[in-house]
Amino acid sequence: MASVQHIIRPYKNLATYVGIILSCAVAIIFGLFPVYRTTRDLYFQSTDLSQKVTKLKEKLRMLQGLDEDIVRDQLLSLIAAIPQEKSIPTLFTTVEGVSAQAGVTVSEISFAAGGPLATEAAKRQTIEEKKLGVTILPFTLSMEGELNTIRSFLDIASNVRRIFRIREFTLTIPETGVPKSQVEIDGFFSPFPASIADVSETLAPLTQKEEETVAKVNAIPLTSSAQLESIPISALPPKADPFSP
Amino acid sequence: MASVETQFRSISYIVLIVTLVTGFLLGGSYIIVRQRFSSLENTRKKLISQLNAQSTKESMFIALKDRIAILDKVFVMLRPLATTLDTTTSIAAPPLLTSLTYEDQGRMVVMVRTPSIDEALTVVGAVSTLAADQQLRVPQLQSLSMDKDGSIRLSVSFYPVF
Repeated sequence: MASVQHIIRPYKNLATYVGIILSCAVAIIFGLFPVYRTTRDLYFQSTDLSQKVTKLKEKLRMLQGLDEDIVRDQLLSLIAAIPQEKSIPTLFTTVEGVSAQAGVTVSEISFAAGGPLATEAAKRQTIEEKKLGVTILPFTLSMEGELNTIRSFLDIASNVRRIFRIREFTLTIPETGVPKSQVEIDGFFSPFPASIADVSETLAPLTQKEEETVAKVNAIPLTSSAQLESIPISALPPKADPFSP
Repeated sequence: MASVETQFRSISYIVLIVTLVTGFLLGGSYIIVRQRFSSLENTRKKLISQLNAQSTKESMFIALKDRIAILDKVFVMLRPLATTLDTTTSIAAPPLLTSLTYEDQGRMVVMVRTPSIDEALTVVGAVSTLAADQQLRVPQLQSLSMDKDGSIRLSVSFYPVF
């Protein structure tokens, strides 16, 4: 035993130094390196989070700067042009209003679209509908009137808040009697977006061009005050995350 | 032996100091980054809560933007047909004009009945003039026939320029 101690004693200090070096190596491998990795990951996460916070701040500032009543009025105005549902009554009142203003006699209105029994989900959209982002509601209108009144109808119909597109138009002028016309008209409707984007998505204010579009729609006359309906909250796009507070 | 021991002593001290200093620096950095992360996370939660309070306004604004985009596309394809009717009646007014059809693809077909060939030629001339003035394009004579009473039935098609 004494001989072993005799052999070890000269290496006692050296062993201590080697022990320190090995302890440091262990501390670096199992302590410092994981801490470094965690800190680095946390730094990158913080950078991402900082960008998200900046976007959220901008979005909040933008939303706080908006007047809810003005946005509501603008939306109502645009819904009167293209409603969020078929809104057949406003279609009828608009056609009535336009024909009364023009002085033509409407003899028939017929809808070619599938009845209300078909759900919108079941109905396939055409390429044009997909392109425009609307559902087209085609109907045929037969009317009678002098040429100037029919012209007036076409003029007013192209400038009325419930927006129509005259797809086809036939005018027959008999030798005797009143000119008759058959008009294939497309009405439009488009439901609100199914959901709003993620809360962190940026929201840009209205551009100059968008403001112009709103102004253009506002300048189009309404045929009936009943066209400006209130917006039910349930019809608005729901939150992206229904579980968010 | 003594020199090896001295070298190991120096190396061990250097390694120890470097490890301790790095440890303190890393620890400090971790605490700072952690605090920043927590602070940002709290700010994010607060902002989301504030944004949720604005959700009705946000929904309306998104619906508004969506509708503007739709309207921009719809406006592009609307055609002022009253002016097309004016163009047509400038070619031939009633009683010469018997019918007209505006087709889905934007083509206008005009049926005219004239008492003489001269008036039919006047109608064709009017179409040519309007085409030259670029008020219409691709004018085509679809049909031309003469009735027993000498009247001319003429069918002309063209694409109005809006």
